[in-house]
Amino acid sequence: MAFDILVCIDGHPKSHLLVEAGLNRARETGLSWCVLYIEQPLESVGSTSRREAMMRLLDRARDEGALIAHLEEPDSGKATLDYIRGCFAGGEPVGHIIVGQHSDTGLAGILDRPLAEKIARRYGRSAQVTIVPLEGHVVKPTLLERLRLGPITWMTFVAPVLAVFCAVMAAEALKASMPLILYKINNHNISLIFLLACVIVALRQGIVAALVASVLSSLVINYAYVIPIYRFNIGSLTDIINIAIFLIAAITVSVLGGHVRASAEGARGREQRSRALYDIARLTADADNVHQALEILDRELSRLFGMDIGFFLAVDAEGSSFEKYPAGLVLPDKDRTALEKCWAENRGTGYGTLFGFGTSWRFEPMTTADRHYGAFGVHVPLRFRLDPAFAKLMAGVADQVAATLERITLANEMSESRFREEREKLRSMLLSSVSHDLKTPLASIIGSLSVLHSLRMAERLTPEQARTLTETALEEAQRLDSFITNILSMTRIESGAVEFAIQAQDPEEPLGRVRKTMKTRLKGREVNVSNEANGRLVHMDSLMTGQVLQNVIDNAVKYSPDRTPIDIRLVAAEGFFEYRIRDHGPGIPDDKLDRVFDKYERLNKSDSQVAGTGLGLAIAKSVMQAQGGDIIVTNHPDGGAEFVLIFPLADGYATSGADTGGNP
Amino acid sequence: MNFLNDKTVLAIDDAPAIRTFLRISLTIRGAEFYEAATAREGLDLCRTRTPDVVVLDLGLPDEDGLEILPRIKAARADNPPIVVVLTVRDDRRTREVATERGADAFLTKPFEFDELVDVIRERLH
Repeated sequence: MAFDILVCIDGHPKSHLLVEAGLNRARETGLSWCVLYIEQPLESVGSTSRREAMMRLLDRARDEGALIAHLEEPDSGKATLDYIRGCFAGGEPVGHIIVGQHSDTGLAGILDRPLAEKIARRYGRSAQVTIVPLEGHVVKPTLLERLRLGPITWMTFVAPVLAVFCAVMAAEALKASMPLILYKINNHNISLIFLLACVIVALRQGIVAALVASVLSSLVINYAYVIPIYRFNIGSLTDIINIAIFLIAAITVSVLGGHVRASAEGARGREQRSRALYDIARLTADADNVHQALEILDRELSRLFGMDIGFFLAVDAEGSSFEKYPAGLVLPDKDRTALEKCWAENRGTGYGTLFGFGTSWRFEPMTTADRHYGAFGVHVPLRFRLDPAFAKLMAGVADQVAATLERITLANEMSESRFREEREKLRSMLLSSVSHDLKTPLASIIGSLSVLHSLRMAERLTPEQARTLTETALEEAQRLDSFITNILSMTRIESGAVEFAIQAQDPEEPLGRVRKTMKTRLKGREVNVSNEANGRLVHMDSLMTGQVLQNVIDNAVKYSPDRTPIDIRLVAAEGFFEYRIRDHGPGIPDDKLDRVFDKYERLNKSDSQVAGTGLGLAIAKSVMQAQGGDIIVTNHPDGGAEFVLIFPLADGYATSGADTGGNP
Repeated sequence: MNFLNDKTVLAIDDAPAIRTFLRISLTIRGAEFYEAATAREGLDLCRTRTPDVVVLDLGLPDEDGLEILPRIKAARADNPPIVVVLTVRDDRRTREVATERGADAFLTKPFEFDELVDVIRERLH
């Protein structure tokens, strides 16, 4: 930020004269210029319009190409000198300084050399210093404003009256408890009692109440305890001096007490804030994602600051875009620039900071030791009184929020890497499962056929052996086919490429078809079908349902001993229809019941007889759910696993008989 | 042709189709043939039938073939059987472990019958 001309302004109403001088100078010389504005925290107490005027002035200066340094400092003179010293120390080629000379330096001007003269004396040799006389005066906050007067309530007047009344009681008690002579000697004790009352009021009720108590006390003392008593004595010089001394003492003590009270309140405020900071960590302890945490923080911090707040999470390292929270936030252009600067330079920007003029937001970067998350922003209302604790609070909150975000993202990253690991494991499981399931039937086919080929040539096979080998090869080829069909179906179902043709259907039709297809597979098995559906029609896709039945029956064959029967029941009940397929095998371990429909779940992982397991039942689940039904598995009370295919019966009461009757 | 005359062959594989064609083909070659579908049955037959050749699948339902390999070899310490491993696992690691534990040959499924015959013939003579 190199510049040659420096214009130093404060809140003076004629500051525009200085800025104009700077602009003229910059135009004449073609050099770059900078406007340094030191805003005093208390300046904005009284008038917001003046602050806005200053903002407009700075805006104009910037439009004319000026750099803007906008600082928030309690002592404008000191801050200006510090800034100029910093410029020279930093090798800034400042050749020209323009500064205002206030016409009403008043008492301070007598005690201390005016700022303009100090600058001219210190830097007059290295830079050309132009002093512009300014008329009028900087509107400083009044004494009352500085004293942080609390609100004036009825207690402001009742409390001093009560206190003075108590003091009178105490004084009367003192008077009654000692002889008159002694009392007259110790008359000044009475004053101390009233002074004490004033201090107590100051501590409890603040300065205004204490001042009321002071005046009241001096009147009462004068009337009731200064001889001649029960009369106001302001005739003699002594009386006036007495009253004056008491008033001065009481007021001094009251003001001090008021200050103590105000700073105690400040300390309480600070304590509340630090507790709030501590609370950030506690409140977000349960949040398991960033948005949840930000929602909580938004609520709590809005309350803490009493302002709108926002979080701006950087989407990329360049800070070209931010994810805003709350999402609907819209930043004015200047604030947007401040936000980008906050990210780029990793420091607080916006309202009340260097170059922060014209902004209404204050931003603080959210960073931890090794991560940058973005910025925390507070929308500062125009009337807001900046105090030095504000910047500290902002930084503290931003740090806490960043730490919270780091904790959450670290936790999420860990679970994400676990998820990736799981997925990788599943993928390799799938690969080995598929290669195993494809290769085992192929091995049987190739083995059988190669035996057939080489031994038949040598004419050593009996016709019986040749038939066995051919049959084996054929069965295995069919198994391979059904496995490949399953893989393809699964892929198509998962990608949504399967269209279901659902129509009213006699549920015995797909079952009959499947039994025909599986004739070889079911050889040596007794299949008991009992149709208890009373000819109900069921809405289903016949082909897909057939595939489900085939997979479930195939599963029953695989997992039950040879020659045990398979029971199939068709049941219609209120609102639904079921196929119930039960085998007489060992059943399914309870802990695996809910996992049999998972893809690639194999109950027995090295079981090569059951090529295609896992996929078959997963497909069954997908198909049934796509048809609006479901498939579940239980262990039959009398042994064996029972799969139940459930179809909803929408209209429920049509029978195949009625249907064919109605539509000849 | 009947190079397996007087030889006892044991096939341990849980796929019935594989056992079927091994039974037919190896019996024709003159072998006395036994078969097992599980590791436990296989180990029992190793002890009772003292086979000269064991055809071993690795993916067995009760125990991995690689686990029982040393025990098959040890079943007949004086004249351990020739073990031919048949498996769909074709990774280098499995092959190394199988060889380490005493496998004489390693065939990956699917294979042709003549390959198996050649392997057994080589190892027997």
